[in-house]
Amino acid sequence: MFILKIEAASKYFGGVRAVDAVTADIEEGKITSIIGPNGAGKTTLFNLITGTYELTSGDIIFHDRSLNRMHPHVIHSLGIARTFQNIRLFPTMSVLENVMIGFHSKLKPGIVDLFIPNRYRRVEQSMKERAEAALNLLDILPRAGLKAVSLPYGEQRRVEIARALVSDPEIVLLDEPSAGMNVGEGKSLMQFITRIRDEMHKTVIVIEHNMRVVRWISDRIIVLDHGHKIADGDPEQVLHDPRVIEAYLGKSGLTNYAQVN
Amino acid sequence: MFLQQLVNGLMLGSVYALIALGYTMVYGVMKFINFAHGDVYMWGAFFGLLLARYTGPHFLVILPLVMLLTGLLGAAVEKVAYRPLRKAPRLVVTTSAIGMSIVLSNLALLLIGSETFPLPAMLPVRVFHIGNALINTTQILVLGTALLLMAILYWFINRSRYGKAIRAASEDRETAGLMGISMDQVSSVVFFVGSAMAGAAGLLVGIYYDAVYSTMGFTAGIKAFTAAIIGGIGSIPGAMIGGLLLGVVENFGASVMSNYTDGIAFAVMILVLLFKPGGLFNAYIYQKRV
Amino acid sequence: MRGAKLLQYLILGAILVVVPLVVHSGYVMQILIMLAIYGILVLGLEIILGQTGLFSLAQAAFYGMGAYTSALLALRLGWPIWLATIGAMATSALFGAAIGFPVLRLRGDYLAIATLGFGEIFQLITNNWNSLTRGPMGLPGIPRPHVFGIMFDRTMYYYMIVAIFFIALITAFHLCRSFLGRTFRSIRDDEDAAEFMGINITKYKILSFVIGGIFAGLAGSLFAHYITFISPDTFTYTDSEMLLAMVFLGGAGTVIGPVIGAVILTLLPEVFQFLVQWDMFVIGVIMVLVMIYRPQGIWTSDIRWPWSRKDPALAAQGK
Repeated sequence: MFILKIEAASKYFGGVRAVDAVTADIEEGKITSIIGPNGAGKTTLFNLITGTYELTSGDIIFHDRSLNRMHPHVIHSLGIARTFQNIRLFPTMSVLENVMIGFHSKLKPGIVDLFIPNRYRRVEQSMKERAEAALNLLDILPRAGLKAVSLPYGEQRRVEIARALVSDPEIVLLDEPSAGMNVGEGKSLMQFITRIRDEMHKTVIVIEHNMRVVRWISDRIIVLDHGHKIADGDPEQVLHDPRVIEAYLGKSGLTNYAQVN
Repeated sequence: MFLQQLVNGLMLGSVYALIALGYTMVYGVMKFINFAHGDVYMWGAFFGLLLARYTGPHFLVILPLVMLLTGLLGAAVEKVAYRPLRKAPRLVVTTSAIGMSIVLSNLALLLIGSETFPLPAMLPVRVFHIGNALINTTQILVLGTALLLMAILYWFINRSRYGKAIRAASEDRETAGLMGISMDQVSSVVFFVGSAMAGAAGLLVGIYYDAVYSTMGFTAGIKAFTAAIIGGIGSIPGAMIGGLLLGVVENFGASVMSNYTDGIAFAVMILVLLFKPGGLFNAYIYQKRV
Repeated sequence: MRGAKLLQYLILGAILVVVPLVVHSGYVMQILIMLAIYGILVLGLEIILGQTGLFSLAQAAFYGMGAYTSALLALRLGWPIWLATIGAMATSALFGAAIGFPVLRLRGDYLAIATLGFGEIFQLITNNWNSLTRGPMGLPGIPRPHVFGIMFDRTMYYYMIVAIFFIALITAFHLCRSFLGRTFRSIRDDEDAAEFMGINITKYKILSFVIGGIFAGLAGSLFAHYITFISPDTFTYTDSEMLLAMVFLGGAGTVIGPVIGAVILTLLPEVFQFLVQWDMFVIGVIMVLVMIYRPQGIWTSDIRWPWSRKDPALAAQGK
């Protein structure tokens, strides 16, 4: 079952073809990794899915609906949530408030709710409960009252993931979730990502540089290079594809890569 | 009539262009709108007034002195109010700039007064005919000086060592820093030059209307800013063309609805900001997303 | 903690109730009334600027819009004052939405200068539309409110306005603490991220302008019916700058801060009489100094008074 279909999606910035005719179908309930060297167009592809940019050509279909030209907040409310490569938590807000924002689009409270005490209490309460549940999943509930940006890097990443999960999306896009984490944190993150798939039954698309993480979690890997898709398939097959190795390391790096593997 | 409007428009526009240069240079290098710029322009007119009283009405003596003084004033403003905030959010810098604008305009009000002062005549008034349009010596002086100063600035930016540093800093601040360009120095130079141009504009307008007053900076500042965004903020030739264009448009507009002359500039500003924020030539200003 | 806060407000409220009974000075009353009006006005700007981070230089124009609407409705159409006030709030809200719509795409100082442009257009219209506004001559003879045929005197007006101010304050508090305030702050902190989290930023930015406009419209109406004469020069760019200074001095992003800023900057020229002509100059200096040395303003949410309990955030960390 394909939940997201990327159909010849292209994005050009002036003369630069950041994403060039990429076609890929994302399977429901699986973890798909997108890898590729810096500047390969991975984050641009995320930005296209979440509505930051309009497509230059092609289309992206989510449950038979084209996401092209949709506003990011509409796409979010359809059920696609994301995290960011460079963490973008709301700096003046507490951890809890940050996550509560993520649930806003599900509840859609109106002005009226402000002035009817019962409804107001119900809205705030359910936002808080949902946020706390999400924080609990990521083991950072004790940090709920702290300023989000005062947390160590690894915990900030987890807050971002909680903020993405709180709205109960169908697809979660994680942009380099393990960046800046130490080995221990990275490991528990990997386990958590598989839990998102196995226990919450969500589709995960992840951009990741750490090959160990990629190999361990992925059901499928898509490789981008200079905006093109150069490989797509199951991990073992893709990671041994000579074209992928070359894109990553250049020809001279072949031996090094072989040693790592 | 058409020719007359065109001449008047170009003259006024050349002054807007002079002021606009300061906005655009500051925005290019430091990425914020210097709200105090219009007030530096007003100080140019006041310096001219004071100098004319002490040295007599000698334009060629007064002009360089006014430019020197306003240049120093601008550089001082940068050092006091903006330099400590170089790493601060833009909202903070903008607020500081608004504060500085209040300081400068009220200082003039307090030190010199709220009256409108006449400037002594700097040259004998003669009127010439071009076709069926009239142009007098003062207008020629204003237009000529403004165009000459712009030519000098153009040379300075494109040929001189400092000009190159400024262009480099506008392109990419960080890289320029890595290449050994001192941001402190570049900012000082940008503010000095931009303010000197605005000061000259203040003097020219003072001479043209024979009037100097403490609130003259506000409207002129907005109009010059409009000129800068018409040309695409950050672009120096854009500011020059934008200024001339706005001057002409405003003059033709004013002949239709004279009560709302200033409104034309405001309306143009809002329209440009909304529909062509990159200016007519689509200069780069968009903030990056994600 | 809540009790202590409530007590503080009760004490403040008691002082404000007692003042007119003890102080029989029209001058003091005048200042207090103006303080309450400015208080309401900065609460509106706080929502636009402090909470949502929209740099608006049009707040004085919203204020003027409210004052003119209310005055004209009462003078020309003979509306009762309370109805005129509601009309004023609605008009300022509409004006807010009208400004909000087109300028939404602009950020930071671009928004500032565009709102400034709108403020100037308001000035031009009030100054030149003589048949409606009488231009620079202004509108005299705006009626004061009356109950059962008795016209409100200054003391009655004072009580009314203090009560309205407190309602506005509580509303602002409630609003900022609620999901709505949180949404506004998410836009202020990082509007792109907020949009990705499902916040319709267009809607909430307009809403912010609308709510700020309602506060300003209310303040304008109260001002018009108190002072009974309005002219365009009360609602200029300089007044917007002053409001901006109040919010930043007091502490943008807090509710009490801007009100404190309004108190300080309103009292400043009254206390330092020798400053008479220097007040705007001093405000400019204050703005620059605050931005350099304390950009978060005097009052911040993390201020710890000696009598307040341990910081809950620190407590959670186990410190």
